[in-house]
Amino acid sequence: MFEYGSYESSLYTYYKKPDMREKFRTSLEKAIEKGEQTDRLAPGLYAELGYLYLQDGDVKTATAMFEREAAAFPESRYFMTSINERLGQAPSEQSSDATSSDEVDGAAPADAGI
Amino acid sequence: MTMRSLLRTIALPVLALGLAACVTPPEPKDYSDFRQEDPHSILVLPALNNTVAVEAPEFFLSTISRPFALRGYYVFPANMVKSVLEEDGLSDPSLIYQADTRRLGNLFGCDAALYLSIDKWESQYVVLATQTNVKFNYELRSCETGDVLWQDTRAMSYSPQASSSGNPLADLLAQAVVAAIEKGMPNYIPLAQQANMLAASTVGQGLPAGPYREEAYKKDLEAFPVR
Repeated sequence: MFEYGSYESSLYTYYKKPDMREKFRTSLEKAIEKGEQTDRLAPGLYAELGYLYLQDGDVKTATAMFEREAAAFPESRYFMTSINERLGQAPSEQSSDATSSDEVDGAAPADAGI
Repeated sequence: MTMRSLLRTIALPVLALGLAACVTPPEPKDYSDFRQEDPHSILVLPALNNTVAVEAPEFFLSTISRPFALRGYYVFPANMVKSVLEEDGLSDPSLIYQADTRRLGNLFGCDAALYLSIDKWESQYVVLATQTNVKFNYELRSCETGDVLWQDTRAMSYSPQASSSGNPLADLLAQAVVAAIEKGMPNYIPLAQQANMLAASTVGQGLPAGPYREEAYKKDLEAFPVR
């Protein structure tokens, strides 16, 4: 029912060898593409991909991915919206200039309250 | 009829009965709380590691999302959730596991959170044989009330056997080789995948079909009963 592609094996490889991060990214992209084509998109993949972009400092692409996750899976809307708010970009009003990695570092580790 | 053949006719059915008793599935669990709560989404938490294998939690995390999603649930992005928790100073799962589940609800908006523990993750070599063992505990708690909605435990073992060639010495050597290979690269991942699949989808024991399994959602009351 859900198209995960090689999400599991590539995540395992990434954990085993952190320098295989790009392979994890490619696997996510492929699984998403296949899932979109067959209408069997698996939950979490847009968000996982978005998070890789966020770690790279590409806030704009990350935010867009989080929005796509929220649109495809309403169960994720609360989390995705709160992440995008923490990134200082309200959903659906993306600006094109907030992409420096310094801003990511400053915005991400807010207090979780646990 | 000789005594021996008489005995055999009696013994066989008894033996068969004994075997049948072994494979009788356990009683279905009580799904009252689960049905009442009707969770649509599952937040997979990084596992609590009760073993000495430091790499086990990350490897295990890579196998957990799919089998639970395939039961028809939205499963949160496991690697992202793990990283977000770490950024928030919660890289030690025991901190998360002690905290109120409802706080996870505030943070992630999840309906339920899957608490996991790794209780065995080992590969033992004993005279020409290697046995790999894993054991996991699964506990689903409501992000709204903190109540336990479902629980399961799975243990799996694997011990590779070399095929017999008819030559005892060659067989011994072959067995030594497969045992050494298993010890060098234990099959943890296939075992974890099997354990997770059984935990999530065994009839009467796993999770009832979720909303993304429309054909069975709320129609599997017989298999996952309310008492």
